[in-house]
Amino acid sequence: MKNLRNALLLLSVLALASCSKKDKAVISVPLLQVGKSVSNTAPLSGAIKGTMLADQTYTISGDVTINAGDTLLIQKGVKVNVLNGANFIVNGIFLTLGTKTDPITITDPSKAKTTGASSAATDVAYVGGWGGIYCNQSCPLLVIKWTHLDFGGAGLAAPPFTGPSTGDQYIVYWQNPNGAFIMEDSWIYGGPDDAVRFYGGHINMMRNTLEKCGGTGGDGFNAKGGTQGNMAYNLIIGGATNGTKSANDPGTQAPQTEIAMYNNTYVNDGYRNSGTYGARSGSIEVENNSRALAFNNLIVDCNFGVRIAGGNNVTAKVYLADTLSHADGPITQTAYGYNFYYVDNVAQANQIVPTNIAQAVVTHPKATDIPNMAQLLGSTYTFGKAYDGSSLVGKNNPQFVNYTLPNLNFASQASVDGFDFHLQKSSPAVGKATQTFNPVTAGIPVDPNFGSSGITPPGKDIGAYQTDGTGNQH
Amino acid sequence: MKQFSTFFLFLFLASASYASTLSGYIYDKDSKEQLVGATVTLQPGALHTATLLNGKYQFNNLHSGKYELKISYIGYKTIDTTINVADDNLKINFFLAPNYSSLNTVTISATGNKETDSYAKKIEQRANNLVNIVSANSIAISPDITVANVMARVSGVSVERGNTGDGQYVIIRGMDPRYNTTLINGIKIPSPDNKQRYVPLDIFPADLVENIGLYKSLTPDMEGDGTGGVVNMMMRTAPDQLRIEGNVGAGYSQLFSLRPFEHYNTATINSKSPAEITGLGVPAMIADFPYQNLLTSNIKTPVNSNFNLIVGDRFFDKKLGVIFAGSYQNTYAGNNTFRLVENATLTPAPSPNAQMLQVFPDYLTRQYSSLTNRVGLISTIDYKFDANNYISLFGSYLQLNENRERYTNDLLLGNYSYQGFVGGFEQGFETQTRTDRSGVYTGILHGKDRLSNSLTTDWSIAYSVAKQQLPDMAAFSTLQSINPNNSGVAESLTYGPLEVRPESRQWEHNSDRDLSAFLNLHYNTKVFDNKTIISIGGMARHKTRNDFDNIYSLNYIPDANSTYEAYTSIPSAKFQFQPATDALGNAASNGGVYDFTENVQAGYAEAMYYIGEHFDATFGLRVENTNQFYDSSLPATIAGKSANISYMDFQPSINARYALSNTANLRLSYFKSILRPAYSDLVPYLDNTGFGQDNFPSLGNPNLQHSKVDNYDFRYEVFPAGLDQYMIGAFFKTIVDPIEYGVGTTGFAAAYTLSPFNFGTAHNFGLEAVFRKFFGSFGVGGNYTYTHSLINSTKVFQYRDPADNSYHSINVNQPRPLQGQAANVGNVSLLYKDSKTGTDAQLAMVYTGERIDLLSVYKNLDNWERPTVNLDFSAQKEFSKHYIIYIKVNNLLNTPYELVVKQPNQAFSGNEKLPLQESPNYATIENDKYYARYNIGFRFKF
Repeated sequence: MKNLRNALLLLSVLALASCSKKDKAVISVPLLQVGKSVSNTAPLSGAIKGTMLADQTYTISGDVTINAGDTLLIQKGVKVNVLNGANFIVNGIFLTLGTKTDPITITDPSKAKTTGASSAATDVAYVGGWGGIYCNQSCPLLVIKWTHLDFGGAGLAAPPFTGPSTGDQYIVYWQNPNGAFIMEDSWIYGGPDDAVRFYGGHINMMRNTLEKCGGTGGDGFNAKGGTQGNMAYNLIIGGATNGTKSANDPGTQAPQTEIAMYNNTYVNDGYRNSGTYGARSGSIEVENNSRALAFNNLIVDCNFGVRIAGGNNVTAKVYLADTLSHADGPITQTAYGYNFYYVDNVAQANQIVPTNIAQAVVTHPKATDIPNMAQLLGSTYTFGKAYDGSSLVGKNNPQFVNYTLPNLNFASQASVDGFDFHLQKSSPAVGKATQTFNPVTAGIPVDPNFGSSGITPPGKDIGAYQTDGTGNQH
Repeated sequence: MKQFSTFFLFLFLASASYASTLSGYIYDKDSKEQLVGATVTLQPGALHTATLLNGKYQFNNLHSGKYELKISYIGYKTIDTTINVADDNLKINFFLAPNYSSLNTVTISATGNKETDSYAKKIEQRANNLVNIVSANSIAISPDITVANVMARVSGVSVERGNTGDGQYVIIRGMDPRYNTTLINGIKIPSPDNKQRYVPLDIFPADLVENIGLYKSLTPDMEGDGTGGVVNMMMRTAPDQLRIEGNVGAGYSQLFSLRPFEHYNTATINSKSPAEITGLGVPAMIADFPYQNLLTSNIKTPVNSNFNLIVGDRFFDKKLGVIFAGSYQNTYAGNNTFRLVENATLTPAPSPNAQMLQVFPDYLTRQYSSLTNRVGLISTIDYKFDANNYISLFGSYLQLNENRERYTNDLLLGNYSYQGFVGGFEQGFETQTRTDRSGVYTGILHGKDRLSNSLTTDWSIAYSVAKQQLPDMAAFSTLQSINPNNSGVAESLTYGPLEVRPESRQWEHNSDRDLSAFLNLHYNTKVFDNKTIISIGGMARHKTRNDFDNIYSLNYIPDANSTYEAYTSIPSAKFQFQPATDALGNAASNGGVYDFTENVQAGYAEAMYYIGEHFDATFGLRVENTNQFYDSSLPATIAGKSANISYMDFQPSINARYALSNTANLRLSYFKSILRPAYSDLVPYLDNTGFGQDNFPSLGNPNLQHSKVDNYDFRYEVFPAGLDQYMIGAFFKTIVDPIEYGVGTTGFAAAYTLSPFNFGTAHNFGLEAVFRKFFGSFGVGGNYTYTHSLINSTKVFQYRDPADNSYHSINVNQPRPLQGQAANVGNVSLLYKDSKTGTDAQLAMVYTGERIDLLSVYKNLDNWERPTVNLDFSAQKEFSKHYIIYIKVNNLLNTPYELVVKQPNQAFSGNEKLPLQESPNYATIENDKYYARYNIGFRFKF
């Protein structure tokens, strides 16, 4: 009887619920197909176009080239095994449209992921397996959604077109200042150098997870001259140098690089940067006449905090970020704040506001940051001066769902493994974000297939994972 | 030959009463010029003297009586006569007849000993075109041991120096070395340089040369690409009688009293890269790169040595002439260098009218140690069938080997001050060894025949090979962090552990094979009763050139649980290929690997027209047809992998001379010339060598047009008595499509590069003056050239508009002189010649005004070379007729090679002070010191 009553109660609750809300239905959308299907009966190389069909496995044995005017589409669930360090050479349009339930994987099948401590010397993640996706100036659109790019970054044996050099080890290389490059809800695992290198273009790097990017140097997303767009809601863990970076070199007649970097979660970044000293390897780097927004980022156990590069007129190697106010551009002035730091040792604490012991820094300590660096350093603080941050060690635990802090493995834990970087409801980062700025929208197409699935605006909570379920979906 | 002379005597008895002195002048019988250094002996008493710089001789306190008088001079028939000396002053002038019998191979024919100054002057005076001649005798008494250094003393010439401080390339009247050509015995030779057509002149030992001619105007029979000038080295030719001469010398570079010479072992160096041995596409092994050539050892006091020997004679009734000349020089040289690295990216200028500022992230100190070995062998065999028909075979083997070690300390500059200067936060140490094997090998078969009374022909077939090999240029480097105890001003530094950095190994080699044939016909006739020589001729050249370049990068292996490899020693450093493709080298896709073919055919018609004694003109038309083809190993997907280029040029010219008197000429000339782009200028090969430290990357441009140049010259020259001379000249050149470097990019993504472009039309004009005057035993000579040139080249200018803070990056035209051109170039030399004691001395000064050395991609930030004053000294003393002791001292003032950027110098003082800054108005970015070099030795002559 008791069971029956309980069942009735449950039914009535369900009935009530069903009365108060619409039907919940997931209706399949028509699967996009372009051109003819690509056959998977033999390994692929050379010119390629059409559609790689859903849930099929393909093998690429040599460089494949998407010619100008052609499109290659990879449907959901496809697995692409790339052998012999082969590359995608993109002169046309390239779309990889995975879904949350049916992601795409492009990988080198000879390599397997490892968990736990990772070392540059021994982890195969840092040795390129397959090559990369190299997009020429004639590529108008590259869309990567719900796609795993694992073990890329084999060196180029020869430049596929004018621009990149022999030996380049990027996973995605982009050089069309007028095109759009969308990468959303995807994963990059491993790679010896910068994971993604942009030279111009309209970009939306959103809700991705980057693990183990860079062997002994290399950034996650490295935007160069003329690139404009967003880098938001990404989880970047164990990157060799910076998680996200903007710079305006080398540039020709390009507009300035302008990037909105917000609601990212940076964990354990900047510990595999050998051969380049100085305050260059941490979480966020804004340098060299570029403009950026850096808000709502959660920065945990990184080598350096948000670094707005300064420069003197004599020796500066990395130049002054553009901090002036402008009339033009999606970002009229470099701005930052509402960033949340957690550190596990004094060295990290002393670089939350990076000092210029090596190179000039113009990061202003912000009262909106957690901890309040403006208060700690006082009104008389001169940019770049060393300070004592020891009181900050272990403070402001962001309370991840499953990643225990303090954690002294920050230099070696470079992958997500079984950890969960969502915030607990009680996290001091919840509800502390600002929503008073706008992401970049100009030039970024929004479309289920041929553009962004959605430019997620700034969240309420700091970091990539929002307690309301928005943000990073991994 | 028929009569071998004893005497030709012309006696002029001025007065003949009571002689206590005997004096007079010795002249050339033909030119009536005074001869310097002729030997005059009187018997009995074995009195002897030599003529002074004005040709005068004198014997004092003679007893009256009968004397046997003998006058001898190399290249002239000896005078042997008897005179009566009475109790009075006797003045007798003698006229010597030249006995030079072998024929000249250039169009200018003159007789006389070709190694003397007077011969040189005579050619200058009588040539149909504008020419400066340096004789072997003046080379011998000069401080120079290579042809390049000799050239620095010629009017209108400045030199570019290599890393030992020796001259390498000549800039003639402001025209970059690319505008000049180099000939051996009148035949153009290829270059061992890996990029350029022009020949490094330091490869030629000066003592193999009979004379060096610098032709500043072209006649139709000359190849049409010598716009700035043509350097023609006439090699030694067989003498009339047995001649043996040589020299042995030793020297020392003062630099190595300050620090030891660094030496490395070349035994393990492979002449070919692994990919050339196993095939392109086969991965190399780490074991293919032995470390032994990176280990260096000290030599405390290295001694330089030089030897040379010349043997020549004539046989079979003087019909067969043979000469062998060999030279060997072993030189330890080097320099100490400091350099500020120029960053490729700069902060925009704060306003459209402000200047961008060059900034300097690194401070480099470098020590070069170069062991150079020059071997030169030449031989000429000629056979004269009769006075009008002869044939000669010339061969030369010229080899320059250099083993160069370079040690670099690279301080990455930080943002704090230490001991008064900007401190570093990272420093690197690099040992680089570079082994250079360069050579030029030439064979020329030449003939001259009289076909009839009025028709002569001459012809040449030449085969030359120039090669350069740079096997296994290796660089090993380490790095460490530097941590100051304070930001702001630091009192102490702590250094991090030394880390092994990636090692680079590079193999480069190129060869240039040049087969050419020349045929000229000369017809002697009269037009309107005036002597006229009509010539027609043609030539063909087939040139094949190949370049190879392969670079390997060896990555360090991080230690376990570390991001770096700790350094212990070079032998124990471990390497891997990461990325794995590095094991292939980059030759498979390197535009620096190419084959280049060039075929040139030319024909001309020319007339030399003489009106009386006072006027002559050489005029005509030359047509040159050029076909070029190259194929590089760039991927086929990249534009410019190969190209086929052809063009034809019509080149009229006229050279006119009006003799105002026997000793003064007026000259006017016009000629049209061309400049063919260098091979590397065409191939779109991205050369990153030195980028990040020394210069911007460069990239060829297959769309480059060849340059067309209109040249106008005017010259007034006076040849008074003796070796005295005065010249003043003016020149004007209009260069259509000049080839100069400007900003390019390889694409949107790439960094700025410097690429050759044609920049509209450039004008180059100037004035030139030469003087030489002797006062008895003393002489003073000098020359001065003023050159003005202007081109507009593309530069990048980035600025921020303060009105709205907007950022602009624009390409602007910046006017500038031609690269390498100094507006003011001058030489002064003081000569002392005491023929009695057989002492010669020369103090020679070269002034080169400021000039652009390296181009920046940015507006106003070119690297200028500061004006230099180089002072050299040489002296020699003759001990008997056969032995001479000499001393040569180069670079007495230790003149630095200094580069500056003309911008307000914020590194001059204050917290951002950098070393070696000397002015608040410009930043000194390079200062190389070579120190003085001494050479002593003795020469013998039989």
